[in-house]
Amino acid sequence: MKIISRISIFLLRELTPFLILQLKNSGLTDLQITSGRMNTFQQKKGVRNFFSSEPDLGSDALDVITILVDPTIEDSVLYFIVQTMKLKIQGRGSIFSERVRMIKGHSLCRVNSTFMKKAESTGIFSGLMGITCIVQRDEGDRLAQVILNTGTCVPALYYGLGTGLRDKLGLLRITIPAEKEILQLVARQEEADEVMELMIEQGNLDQPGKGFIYLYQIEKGLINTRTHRDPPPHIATLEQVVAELDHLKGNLRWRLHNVEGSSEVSEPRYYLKQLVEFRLTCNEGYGAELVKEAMSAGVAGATIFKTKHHFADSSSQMQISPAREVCNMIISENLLENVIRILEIKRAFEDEIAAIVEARSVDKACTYLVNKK
Amino acid sequence: MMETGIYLQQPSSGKVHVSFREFWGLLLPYAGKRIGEQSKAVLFLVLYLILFQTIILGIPIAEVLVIAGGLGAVILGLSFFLEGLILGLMPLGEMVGLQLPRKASLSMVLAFGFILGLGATFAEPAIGVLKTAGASVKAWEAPLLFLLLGRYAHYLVYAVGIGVGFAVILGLIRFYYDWSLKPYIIILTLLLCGMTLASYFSPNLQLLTGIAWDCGGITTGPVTVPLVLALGIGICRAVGSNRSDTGGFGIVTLASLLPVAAVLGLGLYFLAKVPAPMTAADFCRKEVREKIKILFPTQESLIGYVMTQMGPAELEIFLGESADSVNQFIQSLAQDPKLQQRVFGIEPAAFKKWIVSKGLPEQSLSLLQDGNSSGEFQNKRLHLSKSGLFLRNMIVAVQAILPLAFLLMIVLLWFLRARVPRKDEVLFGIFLGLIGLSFFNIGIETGLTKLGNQVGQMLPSSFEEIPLAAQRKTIENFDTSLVQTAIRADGKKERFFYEYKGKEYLRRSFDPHYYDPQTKTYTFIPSRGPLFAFRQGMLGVLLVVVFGFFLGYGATLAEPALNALGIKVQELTVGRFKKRILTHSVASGVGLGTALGVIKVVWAIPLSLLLLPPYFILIFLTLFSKDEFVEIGWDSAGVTTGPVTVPLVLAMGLGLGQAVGVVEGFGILALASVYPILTVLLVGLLLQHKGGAVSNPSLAEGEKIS
Repeated sequence: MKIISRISIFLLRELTPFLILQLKNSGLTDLQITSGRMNTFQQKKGVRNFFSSEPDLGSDALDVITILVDPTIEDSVLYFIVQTMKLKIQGRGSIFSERVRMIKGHSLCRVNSTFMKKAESTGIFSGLMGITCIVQRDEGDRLAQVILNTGTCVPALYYGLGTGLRDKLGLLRITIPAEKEILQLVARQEEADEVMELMIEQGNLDQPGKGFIYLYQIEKGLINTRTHRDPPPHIATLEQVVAELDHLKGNLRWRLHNVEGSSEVSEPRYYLKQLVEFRLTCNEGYGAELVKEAMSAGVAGATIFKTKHHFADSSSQMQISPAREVCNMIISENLLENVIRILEIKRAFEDEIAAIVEARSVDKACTYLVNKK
Repeated sequence: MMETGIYLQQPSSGKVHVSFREFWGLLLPYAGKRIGEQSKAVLFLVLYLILFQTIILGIPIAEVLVIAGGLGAVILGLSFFLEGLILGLMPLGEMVGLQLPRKASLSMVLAFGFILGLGATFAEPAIGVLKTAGASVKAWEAPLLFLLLGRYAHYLVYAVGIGVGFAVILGLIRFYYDWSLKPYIIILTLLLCGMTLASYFSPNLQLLTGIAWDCGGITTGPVTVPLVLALGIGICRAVGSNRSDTGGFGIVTLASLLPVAAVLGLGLYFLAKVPAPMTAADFCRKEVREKIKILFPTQESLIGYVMTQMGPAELEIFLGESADSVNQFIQSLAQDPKLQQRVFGIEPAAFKKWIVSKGLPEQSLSLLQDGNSSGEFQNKRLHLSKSGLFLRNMIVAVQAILPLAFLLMIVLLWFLRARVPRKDEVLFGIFLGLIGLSFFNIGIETGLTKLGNQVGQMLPSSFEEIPLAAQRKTIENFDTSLVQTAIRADGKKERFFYEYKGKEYLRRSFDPHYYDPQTKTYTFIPSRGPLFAFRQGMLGVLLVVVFGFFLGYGATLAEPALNALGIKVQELTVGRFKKRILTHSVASGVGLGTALGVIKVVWAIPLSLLLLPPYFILIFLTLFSKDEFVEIGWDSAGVTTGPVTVPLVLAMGLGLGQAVGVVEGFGILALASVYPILTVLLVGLLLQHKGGAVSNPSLAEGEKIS
């Protein structure tokens, strides 16, 4: 078990090939890419603007790129990516890093330990929190709009499958849809709580079957806040000015931005604490079964999404299959040992499945709770 | 906000018990949702057909209850079938696709692909549909076509099967080497257009082009497409192709283009062996006897063909230039039942039928004891027993799904040694698929096709006068003094009379041949139309064209394969390309193609004129579109013309063709297959233009890697 750094990048699909090339040339060997999308506001043009001036929601192809690195090279990698991809120019993507525990993994699941480029520290800030939210498919756009309206960031959305109670119903499970949509966003510490609260409220996430949302710490990152697509007729966009000020000030705290939530809170909100995000990445097709085994150890359920493993072309070495899937589970810390043991029994860490598991603590989570004490 | 910490624990027991009420509470909304979705898809088409027939054409629908039942079966069948695809067949295909590259060599994967392509063609009976449509092709007008639809029809199926098999091989190689689909498309399209243009120099080949292109559109039915798609998606993910996330598309495109080349190639092979098209009379002459031998398996069946398809004059020429030889032959037929079988086929009493329908009066009188046995065969309708209906369609469904499902299972379990994921769902899905497809086929036969046939036959009444054979009438005590005379511009006289019917006085034309002076009865077939006599029925033709558009549009929305494709596309593009947008773009394209097909049949425009220009435009559009849209666009076109569209469009085409009197009514399907590619690519270009949160200035020069 060791502490590693997990770097995630939300990047416009057009820019991904360039980034991959640059990273491989710099010595990185493995990374994962998940296909997703991002939404931004778009002014209606011409006649349609006449009817209603509310902006449309346009979507773009986005890639969620995940890189596991040794903490010693975390800074170099972060700064390099920000510089090469010009992420300071708003609208191209977000990047952030988290400290996670890599508990166990197949030998081919490598953590990148060498990086050859040095870059100057630029535009990366601490004081950020990450929020991940899982909802029913086709609900994502609405929540994304809520987030965009707050102006805090542009979330990444991707598809997944949910497992949980439905898998205990036998064949009847087909009557409950398993398709899920996952939203991931990064917000400033000061706003994170309010954004989370707003999402719970707008998405009714505390109602049964509506979804799941959780909040976690982030080491450092850079957020894309360009929520509107059309550049207004100024010399510089507001986001550019804000970004420069962030840089000048050296932190994000100067922004006295208030997220508007509802003025009334009728009931106290119950949050789940002392949880751990348990991430199991394995070859595609085996996730559901492994999750089922984990559920016998007490895990409530998981969200499974597909990802593609990219590696540098070192043809001499054996490589992992590109078709992978990630099973995300939120569990209590004390279940961890049992789950790992069950996975070992099921030979998850051997060649056929080639799994790797990481764990990371979660600050708080919210969903429908059966009994509220 | 108070925050309380609660630990997350769940009971670790295996299964949760569900009460009876909860069970139905889960099942009913789920079933309702699925059936509701399919009802919406089919509803447009059904309402449209019914309204068109009753209101615009003003002809009541026969057998309303049967048709309504059939339509219900279609909706039910579609819901079950689609669910079966999503639960069972597609996950199975995807899992096989995921495991294949890991555990099998490239040549084994290609061999598997070829078998799959070949098997899929034999499993799905789409070719049979073309054969029944080809029943109206005359041996002397289009000998090559007649040969390939009749005696050598199995060669046609083989050619198509091999075409599809090679298409799968090419498609799979493309995934492994990460090649773009564009060069394949452009080369194939140019090749096919070239072959089609070259075929103009031979009248036989020219007549074959219609069906060749139709074959391309017809292959890849509702079972094959989702299966092949899922397989492709799985393989692409396992191989790790770096193309856009819509990896896995493209096989359907190739499977729609290659069979065209295969059929044209087959035609080329047989070209030298068949005679050129000729008149019916020439066909019967002794000189050509050697050449036309190849068209019929035996000499006797040739005689049978001449007897059933041509008139007494031609029969005379055939049998040797005198009425005597004809009578001699008929006598010999009457005495030898075995000879009858060899000539007319195994259908019993076929000879008698022939006598009644085609034989000259003296022939029938001499052979049949009473002249009244004619009544026996006049109004015979084929009654298909109910049990035969269910059994037949169930067999078709089983034939379409089970072999492919078994093939995949065997490959997965034995060759790849992998587990079937969610076994119970997959098996249940296959079961649902079987039931769904059976009901779907039953519904199509009893509901949609019947409705389509009726509308198709009545359709020409919008611009022409057509006889309503089913409403043949006999008037007793006919008083000939009632008949009046009108004069034409050229001096010829037309006679007519009035019939009082339903408080209206209807004009009927009088033909003395139909008047029997002994019984004083007048038997005639009323006709209807033209609805719009203005300018030789121009407006009527326009109406038919518009009808064709909406028929193509509505039928496409109901196609299950398109639905499955749309779901996959939305999933792979993570919601950017919504299913709704795709299905409607494709449907408009098919509508456009169908409308043009109507124009082709009514005005006898050569197919190439309407088919080749869009393909040329497509080559340009393909070059300028993004790979993602090219793959989706071309695949969607392969998906159209499925079990809903084909019977309806064919029925309409046949009805029109007969009314207008063309040699062959093929080609509408081919047109309906090419225009959707255009519409989808155009929509794609539009989206490409609109998209782009990052305007170009932000993208530095070195960053553009496509």
